[in-house]
Amino acid sequence: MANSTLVDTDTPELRESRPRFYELHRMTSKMVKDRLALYALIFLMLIFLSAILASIISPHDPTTGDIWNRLKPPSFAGGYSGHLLGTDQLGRDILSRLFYGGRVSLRIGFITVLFSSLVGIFFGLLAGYAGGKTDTIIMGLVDIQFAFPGMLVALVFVMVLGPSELHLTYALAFNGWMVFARMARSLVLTFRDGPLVEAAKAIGAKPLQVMIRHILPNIFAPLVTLFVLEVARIIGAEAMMSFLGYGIQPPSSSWGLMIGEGRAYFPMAWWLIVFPGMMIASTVLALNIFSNWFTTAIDPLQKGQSG
Amino acid sequence: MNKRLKSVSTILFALVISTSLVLNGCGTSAPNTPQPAAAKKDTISIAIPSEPSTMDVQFADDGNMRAVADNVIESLLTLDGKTMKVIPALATEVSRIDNTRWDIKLRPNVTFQNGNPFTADDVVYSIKRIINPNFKSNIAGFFATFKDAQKIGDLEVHIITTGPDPSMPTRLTLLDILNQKEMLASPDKIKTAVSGTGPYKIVSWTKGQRIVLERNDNYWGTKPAIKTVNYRFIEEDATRAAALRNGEVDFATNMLPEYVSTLPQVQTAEGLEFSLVRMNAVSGVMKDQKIRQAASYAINWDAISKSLYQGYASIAPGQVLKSSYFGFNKNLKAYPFDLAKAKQLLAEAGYKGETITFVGEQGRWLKDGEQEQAIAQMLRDAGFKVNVKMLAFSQWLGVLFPQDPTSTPPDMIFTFHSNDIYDADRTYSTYVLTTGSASSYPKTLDAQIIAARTELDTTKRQQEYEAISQTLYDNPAWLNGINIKDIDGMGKDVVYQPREDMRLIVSEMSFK
Repeated sequence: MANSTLVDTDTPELRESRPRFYELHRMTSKMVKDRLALYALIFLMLIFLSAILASIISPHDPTTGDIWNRLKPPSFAGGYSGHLLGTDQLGRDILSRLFYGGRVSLRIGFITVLFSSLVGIFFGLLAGYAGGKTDTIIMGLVDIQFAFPGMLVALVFVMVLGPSELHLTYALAFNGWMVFARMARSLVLTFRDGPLVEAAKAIGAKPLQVMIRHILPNIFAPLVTLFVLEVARIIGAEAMMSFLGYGIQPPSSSWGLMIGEGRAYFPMAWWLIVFPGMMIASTVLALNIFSNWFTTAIDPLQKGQSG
Repeated sequence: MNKRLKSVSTILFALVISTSLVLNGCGTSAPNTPQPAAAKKDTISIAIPSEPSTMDVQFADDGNMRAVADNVIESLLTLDGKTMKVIPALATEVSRIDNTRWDIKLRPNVTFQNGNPFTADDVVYSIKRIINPNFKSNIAGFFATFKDAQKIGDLEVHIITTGPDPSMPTRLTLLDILNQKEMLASPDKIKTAVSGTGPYKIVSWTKGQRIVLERNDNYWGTKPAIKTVNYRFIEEDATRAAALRNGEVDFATNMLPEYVSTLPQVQTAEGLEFSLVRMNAVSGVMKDQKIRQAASYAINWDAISKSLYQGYASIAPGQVLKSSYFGFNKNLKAYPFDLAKAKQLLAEAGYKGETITFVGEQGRWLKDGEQEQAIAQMLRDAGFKVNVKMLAFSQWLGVLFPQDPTSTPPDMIFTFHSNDIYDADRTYSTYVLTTGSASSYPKTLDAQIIAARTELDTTKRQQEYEAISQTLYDNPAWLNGINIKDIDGMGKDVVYQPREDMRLIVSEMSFK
């Protein structure tokens, strides 16, 4: 509450001149105050670390199994001590596959959203700034694509091109760009006729310069929130596609594929599905909590509110 | 405060998403069908993995369609459910007049379910339809030797073949006889409510839900015990098993070995399906005979059949033929699992770790994807560098049966092979003969295969196939895999013995 007066006089110009470390400090202290967001962040960091270090921390090779030791339960449920979370239908170590699978799931989540956000933000900026016919055409495209059920489009896409990680990324990015375009456009509209843009134009900035140098930095925060939410959504979508057999193909693995491959054995081997299912659920949940916190932490209008 | 609320709703949202995903894995059970509580049960509910694509039995190669249609439509000859011997059905007598002409005498007083009498016209129409190249039947390959059919009398037909064809009677067990008058009057009817001569007739087909059959009381043969058949389509294996356990259905096909102990009753049959890994013996790394032999020694089929298939599979006896098939060579035995020998052969061949492409698919056959991954790993253990390429079924089909005969086959491709005419010719003319649709073998055996195919002296023909099998054993065209058993789950009160030919014949079922 102490700095609420400062917030009320906040203008884009002022914010840009404010020292960066102050922002950082403010956000960290907010983070510590908001326990839930802190746990979510810690969890996400652990997931990222395990994915990055998968080759070091995995107790077994994720693709090599001992076929004589199939479907062994987790060690705490009566299985071998060597396989903490049990073995799958080919005798492969579930824990190691979770680490490696996370690598694939996260990679697809981030790369896909990187693609779709770049394309979406570009078109959103263009539509919002140019207005008129450009706006009508781009937003018309967005509306048309929104009218198609996204997962179905992605499925058809992959069916035609053939299932692979690259094609899956294309397919998911192809129906993910619209939400960025829509959001970027509506944010641009609130700035387009403001004094900031007027001033930039007055000193002779070109349209592209105005868009990228002056508008984009000011609408960045809500887009980051959207980015994180989209990553969560894509991780779920990847899991769904792999589950259906149109995503990641064996011998590589992702959490969704682990569920897909293990589902026939669910009645007698719950661990094949429960562990990857928990990973997907908790990662998506943590990303959602984190993005939620990020919105409030960065949004100048909500700065004064208590966490 | 607003923010807390948001967090809570986010948690709920994520939980709903993730649990629904997990639940997808467990499968949700379809609404319960009320069973009529009659004193004597005469309605059976059968769960099959998928909805039939059509009822045009002459066009599609679809096991789900067969599960229904085999009870509705009949062929001239059929197989005895127990002995798998060819027995009369719509034909009473089949005899050879000369090398290319067969005489068929038809059963009198048979009517189709819509009342039309069964005559020679129906047989001639059915044969001409399926061999018509413009019709592009998916099962036309079974009748490749058929040239023409002629009506001799109301109940007599001649079939003309392109050359001597010793397996002609077996081919006739696969030839479905259609109702010519109905076909000409309403050609679209075959896709849904076709009327055949069989013991059951189709009453209704509610797309996406069920097909109902009713007993045909005018059937010429033995009257079946069961009156009404209710087919349900349940794709997930675990859900199909659960439906059987809950009593929602009385019969569930294609059960996993792992389910056996949890089901009320299980019956198995020696299925027809043999897994095999075809190798490219024409070009690339696998062209070297020693490398193909090394691969043969590298696979521990015992582990695959005993552990992956829990014993519900048997190792192919050095050929993908069964002892009951024509042309079986009883002197052959499966390659033993011998890692040292495999490595030694690889070294002798001068293999330097060139990448072997292994093409696979999954979801078409029981545990196919898992079997492929297990084989690939065993090859790696022996020193091969294997790159597994999992393709969607249609793409995989295009690689196994290339449209362009000049395309390079992959080093290895996994498939299941079922020999529906129980004759070595079916296998060898498809996978070995260089003009065969799935061949990647040099033409060294072509002359022998063609000679055996047209040989009418059975002793000589048998010897010729034994020689071909021996050559293929020494200079392998594929890795002989395993023969997987068919597992059917059924309620405690169902009496049925699954057939070796995997046909689902309701008239052989009854309740205790």
